[in-house]
Amino acid sequence: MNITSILKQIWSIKWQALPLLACYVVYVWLAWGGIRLTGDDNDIRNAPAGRAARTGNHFYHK
Amino acid sequence: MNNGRVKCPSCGCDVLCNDTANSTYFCCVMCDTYFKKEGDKVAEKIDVFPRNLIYQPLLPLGSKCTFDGREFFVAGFVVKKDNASGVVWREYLLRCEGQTWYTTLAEFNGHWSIIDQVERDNYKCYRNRYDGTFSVWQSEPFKKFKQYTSYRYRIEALRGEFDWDIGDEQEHMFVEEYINPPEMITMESYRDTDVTWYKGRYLERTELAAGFNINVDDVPRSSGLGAIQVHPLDNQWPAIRTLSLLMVGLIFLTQIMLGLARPSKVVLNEAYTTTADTGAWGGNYAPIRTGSFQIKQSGPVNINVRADVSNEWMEIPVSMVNERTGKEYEFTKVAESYFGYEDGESWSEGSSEIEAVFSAVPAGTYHINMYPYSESKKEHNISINVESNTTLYSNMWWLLLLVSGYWFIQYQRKVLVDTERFS
Repeated sequence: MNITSILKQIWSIKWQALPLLACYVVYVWLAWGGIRLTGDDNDIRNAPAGRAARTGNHFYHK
Repeated sequence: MNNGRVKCPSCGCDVLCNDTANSTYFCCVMCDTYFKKEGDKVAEKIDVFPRNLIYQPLLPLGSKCTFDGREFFVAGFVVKKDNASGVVWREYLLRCEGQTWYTTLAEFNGHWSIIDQVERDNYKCYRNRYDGTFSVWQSEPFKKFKQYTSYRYRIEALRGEFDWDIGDEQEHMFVEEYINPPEMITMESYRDTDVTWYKGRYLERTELAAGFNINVDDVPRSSGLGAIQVHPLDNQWPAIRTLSLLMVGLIFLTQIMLGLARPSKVVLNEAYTTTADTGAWGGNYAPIRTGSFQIKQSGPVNINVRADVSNEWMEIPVSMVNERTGKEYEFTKVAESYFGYEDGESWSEGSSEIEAVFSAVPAGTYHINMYPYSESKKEHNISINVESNTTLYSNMWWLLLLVSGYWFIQYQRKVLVDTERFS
């Protein structure tokens, strides 16, 4: 099976292939930009006041 | 020699005989008497099929048709019934001048197929050693046919002329059918010895009408999915499989290429010891400020902090600060490690390591502030590791999940089609 026949085969289901290829393009874009699809762990940006306001009470209780 | 018509030995009606040179067995359309009439000999009554008016041929006996460039006339009509399942189907036996075998038009639920005898050299039957199923492999061109059904049949109704004792076949003929839509292979073994191979293909309603030169509306519509009727998914499935495999390969390749093009690099790896806090913000340890480090290329940053906690917890707010813009990237996680020995078993839970990823962090000079907090006042060792351009596997897994989901849904659809076909 050569590349032409593979492409012809995939072209026969282009309406299924195109959304997948679009997702692939988004994936490459995200990967190149270093962006994680599920978001990152950055909780608060430019908000030192939030930290300064801490009382020391901990949310974790064993 | 039979001259165009023969007399039924029971009712005396004329029975059509178009193939005067070969036809020797007949079934009367009026009284269903099955008889043998050879040359000038007296007609010999063999059997009488029960009269059943529901089995009327759609295509009249003697009518002419053309398929695959061959001209036929309808010589016989047979209604067969699978002994085990009770399924009933109709067969029209077509005679072509110069052809030694009958071509068969089979019809079930409005689905038609045209079947011809083939040489067995091109076909081999195999048994799958794992699931015990049988398949037939066609050599030229290579094609695999999946076992569809096997049965012995009984003739329910018969009309027309035949050059062999068709009535003798029933109960003695074992039939196996193998399919690969739109084609099928049929293997008939007579008294388990004389094996004949046939190949059939699906005949669209329009093709049948064109072959008989009749109006397509005169041919009843089909119901359900025919055994060798091509479902759109049958044609799409190889492409779906290729596309899915290609996407998976492309995703892995892209991930490798991106890893090579943007290699990850450890930009900070330091260790600290906590000291008591004398400040006023409420923590019990003094904040820790790491040394400055450079992130040379915009991208994701992975921060890994390890604290030597033992049967305790430590909350560590971490803030990565861009020294030029003052922009901060923050996360707060808890390093906790518990272990013990209870009821004769050792147990442990938690992790002394916390980790976070910041996406799309711009290039620049950064440092990290940590504000550890714990219940205890004892000293702790904290180590921190920062990696720039860290590899983001989660995007890849999400896309792979999407591709797998697409393949799985299409596969389930195919299973449903096959289930309908084999039901």
